[in-house]
Amino acid sequence: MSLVTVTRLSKQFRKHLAVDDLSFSVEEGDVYGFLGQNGAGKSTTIRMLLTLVAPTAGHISLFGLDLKKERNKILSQVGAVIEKPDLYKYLSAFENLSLFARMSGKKIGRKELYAQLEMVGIADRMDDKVRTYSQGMKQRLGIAVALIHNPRLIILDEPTNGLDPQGIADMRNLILHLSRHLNKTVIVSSHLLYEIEQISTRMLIIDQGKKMVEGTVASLMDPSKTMLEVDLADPQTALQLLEETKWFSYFQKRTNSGLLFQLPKELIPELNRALVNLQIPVLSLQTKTSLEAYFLSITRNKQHVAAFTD
Amino acid sequence: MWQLLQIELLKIFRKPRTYISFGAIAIMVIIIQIALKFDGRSYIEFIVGGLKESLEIPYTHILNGYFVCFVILNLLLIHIPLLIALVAGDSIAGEANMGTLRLLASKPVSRTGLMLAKFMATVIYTALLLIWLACIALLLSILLFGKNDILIARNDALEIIRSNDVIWRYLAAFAFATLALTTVASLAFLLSVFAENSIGPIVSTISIVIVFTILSEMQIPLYDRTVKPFLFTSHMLAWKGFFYSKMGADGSAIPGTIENFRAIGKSSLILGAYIFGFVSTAIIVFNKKDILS
Repeated sequence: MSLVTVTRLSKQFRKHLAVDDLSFSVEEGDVYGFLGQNGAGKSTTIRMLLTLVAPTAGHISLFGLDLKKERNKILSQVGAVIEKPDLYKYLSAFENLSLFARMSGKKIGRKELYAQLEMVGIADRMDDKVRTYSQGMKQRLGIAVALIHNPRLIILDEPTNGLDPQGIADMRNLILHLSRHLNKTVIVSSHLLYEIEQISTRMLIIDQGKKMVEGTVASLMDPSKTMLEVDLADPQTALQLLEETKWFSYFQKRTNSGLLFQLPKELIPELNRALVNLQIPVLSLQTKTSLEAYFLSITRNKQHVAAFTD
Repeated sequence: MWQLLQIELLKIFRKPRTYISFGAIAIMVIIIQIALKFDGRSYIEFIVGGLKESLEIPYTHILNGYFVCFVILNLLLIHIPLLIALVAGDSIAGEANMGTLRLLASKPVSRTGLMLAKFMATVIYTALLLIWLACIALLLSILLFGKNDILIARNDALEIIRSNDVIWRYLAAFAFATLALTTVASLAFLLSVFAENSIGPIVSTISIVIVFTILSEMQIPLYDRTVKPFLFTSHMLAWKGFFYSKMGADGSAIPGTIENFRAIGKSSLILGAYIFGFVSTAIIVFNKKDILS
């Protein structure tokens, strides 16, 4: 049985269709990556899963229960961090955690609260007001709030936003820990392909509110779809010279400093040789993963996508 | 529900902004008390007007704690709605602004329960503010000025209420004031649902109270019949009715009586209807609201 089943979900905000006939399912134990550009509809979908936004159409079931009918029963088994971990700045970390623990409907003692703060590494500052915390510490506290009632499903919406590289790495490790050692099911949304690729077992790519693809990360890693960015001194002339060759069929688009090709990995040396033979000075060759290539090929604004996957 | 109410009270009373109102009331009351302590005679002369020429006014008896409290209520109860709006207007919009509303609304508690807890916490805050006002306006005034009969100026006459007939009137007046201020709180609460930061609902509430008060005070016959009876501001000062006694044949106030209890009851019902309307609408709107903050 799927832990989350979303069927033909849509959300219309006046004239803007934010989510369009979206269906997907999340299995127990998955780290489910939810990938899409900013404005693709990820946050709206997540907010519908948490009953913050009412769907215009469609059906959501979690743990085999209808979200509309069994809202409280379902939400007592869900923990979430939605975008920024905003908490009460005038309260301490301990007070914040205690407050939300009481709202979860479960009896949670002082020891458990302390243990949770210790797990996320802020126990030594638990009595300090949240207004004195760094973004990373707030994020850790947000995670503690999401986990305090021991939920089966954890939803993290853009959890690495605003974090420094160390914070991002810590978050990644925490998600993997939750999945591998605590057997939690995690839905994690991001606009960063690299992030999703590293932690997800299954993923969904959405664009303009529509499902583009859903599947295991491994199945999307198609070696025939390597993306190669070639930096050239004079891309325009190079493009003219390549127009008459077989390599033009692999050409995707111009980039700021060169040309982008999509081709099987084994053809890369041959392409390099062809460019040299045509007396085109090659400054560098940079491959992107097949998943990136896939993402690039299915999302609408290729220039933009290339920019944020670099 | 009790758990949610405790949480909401904790949030209200851990917020520094909450204490602005308590501080402001204390400062205003003490300023009035100081003024009356040093020059209460001028104020009494102002109240009795031309009667001072024909009557011998016992200024020292009149200037007592009960009288001072009555003066304070007259001067302050019209302004306290502004302080109530500070907290009530912040109840939902402040959470939306902080980003905590989405966290609250994704917890396994119903939105209606959440709203009722928030509203009840606001009512408790309002009641505590009035208890605070009662403590410093009544008890501190008694301490500073002593107790005696109270002189009440009415449109056409002066009324004297015996000192042993006063306390119950104050209790009733404070209870009524709580109802009146809860009406303002419920208006701010409703406006708070529509906003994503607390400035909007606070300013809007204050504006509405000011406009309605002006309309209530306007002497235009058409409005007297059609609009005024239905404005909540027309009923907010009905607490004064508890100090208007029935008059005996000798023209003195009859202890333990209220001249027009029916009017007070009617005002209470109208304010209650406003509260019910504002809070119900707030709950309905919030239940349908997409939380995007």
